[in-house]
Amino acid sequence: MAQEASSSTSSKTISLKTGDGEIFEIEASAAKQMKTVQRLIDDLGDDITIPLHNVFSKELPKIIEYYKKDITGEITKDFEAEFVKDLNDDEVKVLFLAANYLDANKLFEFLSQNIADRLESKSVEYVRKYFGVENDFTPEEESKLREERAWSFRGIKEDE
Amino acid sequence: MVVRQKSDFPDSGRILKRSKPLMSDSALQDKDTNDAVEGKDKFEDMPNCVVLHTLSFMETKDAVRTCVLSKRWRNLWTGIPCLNFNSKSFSRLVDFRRFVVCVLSRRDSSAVKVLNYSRTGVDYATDQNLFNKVIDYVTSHGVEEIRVNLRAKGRGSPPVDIPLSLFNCVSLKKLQLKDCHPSKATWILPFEPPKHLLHLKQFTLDPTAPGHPYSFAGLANIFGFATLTTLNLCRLTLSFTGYETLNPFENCLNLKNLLLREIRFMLEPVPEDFVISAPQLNNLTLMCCRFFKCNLVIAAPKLISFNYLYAAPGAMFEFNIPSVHNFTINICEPQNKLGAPHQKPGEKTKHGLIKMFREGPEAELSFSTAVVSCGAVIMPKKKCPSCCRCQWKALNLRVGSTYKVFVNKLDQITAYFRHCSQHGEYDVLSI
Repeated sequence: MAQEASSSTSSKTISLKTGDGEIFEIEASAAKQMKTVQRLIDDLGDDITIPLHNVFSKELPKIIEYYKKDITGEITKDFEAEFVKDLNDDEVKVLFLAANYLDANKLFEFLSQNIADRLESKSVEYVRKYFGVENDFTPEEESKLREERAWSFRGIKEDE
Repeated sequence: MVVRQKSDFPDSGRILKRSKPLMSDSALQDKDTNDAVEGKDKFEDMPNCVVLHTLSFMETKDAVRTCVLSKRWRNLWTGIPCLNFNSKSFSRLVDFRRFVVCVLSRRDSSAVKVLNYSRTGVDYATDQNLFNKVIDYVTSHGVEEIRVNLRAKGRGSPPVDIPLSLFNCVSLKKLQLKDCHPSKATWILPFEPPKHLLHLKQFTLDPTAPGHPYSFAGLANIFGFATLTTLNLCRLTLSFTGYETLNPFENCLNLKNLLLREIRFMLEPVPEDFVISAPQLNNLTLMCCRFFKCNLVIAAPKLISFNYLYAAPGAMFEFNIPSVHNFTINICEPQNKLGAPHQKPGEKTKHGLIKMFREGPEAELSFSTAVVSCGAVIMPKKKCPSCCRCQWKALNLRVGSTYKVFVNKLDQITAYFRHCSQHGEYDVLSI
């Protein structure tokens, strides 16, 4: 339903430059869905190449692919399933962080759900590694904590 | 496992507003002199609200275990604004119960925006005490969406009492009750409406196994249909006390979207007309409902789309809509995905006397059916003012269905609509 009213910007393309120096083009209407990009356009003008320091050439095409579908209103559950099917956990994480950086809400929500699905029933160690969390508990602290919180580990079906 | 579900009329609200990305705008503009940019954002650097947002998509059983990740995460889970309880993830129901009670007692005081509560029982009953505890908790923490699923393994949907705290919850906007029968709602309309503060926007009731009939007036009264914008009623029996013309939705002053699916109507005595009319109604979907011998009159003045999937042949429609523009009517047979076709190949399906009255809409009529009967049989009813001036823009006759049946009297049908149409340019598209 997010169709833009047709205006002179609807066929315009915006140039985006990734952190590793590659340039990609997107439609102005797709750029509108990424609030960070739109803010930069508002400040810098739409003729200039917009720099995206924290997004790289590996992930940006995938993001552009998503929003290409979004502006034509074609995002379906099948498309979303297909979109993440061949991505490994790290690739999803990188996309997620990029979506957050770009303030691209729809993609961000979708990837949040996907990450939650991927982490379902995974072990603590796996989740820790995934989020990049450094364990700052001493072994004694950790075992004490696990004991205190035994209720959150008990009786749950595992499939690690 | 997907814990966030989209309703039939999607309006997936956001749980939590994210903070801005880690980079400040001034840092971005200053692209040449910016030293803060260094490689990619790390997940661990995400502010708490982003982390909590991601955790709220998880089942609570997984989210809670993040407490041992590191010191930062020790009590992070207590602020997750979403509770997703699913008893299927627990070996025994008693473990599920213990877990839920522990979570409720250890959570912090922040709001719970969304509750998903799914408990699969082993018998035809649910843990009412636990249900009450959970509802009492979330309603006192500003909940906005509640989705309940109480499937019982044996006999389908158990009865459940809805605690008073729910009816006094000012923040609640969306309520979905699946696989359960809210027992009080089957009562006949009480003399005194219950005093409550509930102002729902969306209400879904979908007990998978039909139970006792629901008094429609009872449902409307208890859950407050007057404030709803979206109403979904599925797989239940609605009873109405007898009126000559029945118009149950006319007091749903804000209703925009109505879905009635596999509803059996108990109409005693059977009225001539069953009217669906709500002043703001935009979208109406009827799937496999049984109206028995009634005429179905669609008289919602702001209707934009009407989708009808029929179960039994021979339904009759009347559209009593004064001048509506861009109106889409879509009538079709159930496809394979809804189950086996109800007729053997070769049989003709007779369906749909379509009558339009007054100034008909600029409409797109789409039939995916075998036989549409109309023509000489169409007579304006004596109650209605004179002629039928339709402005049909296009007529799509999707001929044939999954099992090849024939369209009979196609030229009679097209002649009829051509006759009715005041439009200069008029298309008949055979698809």
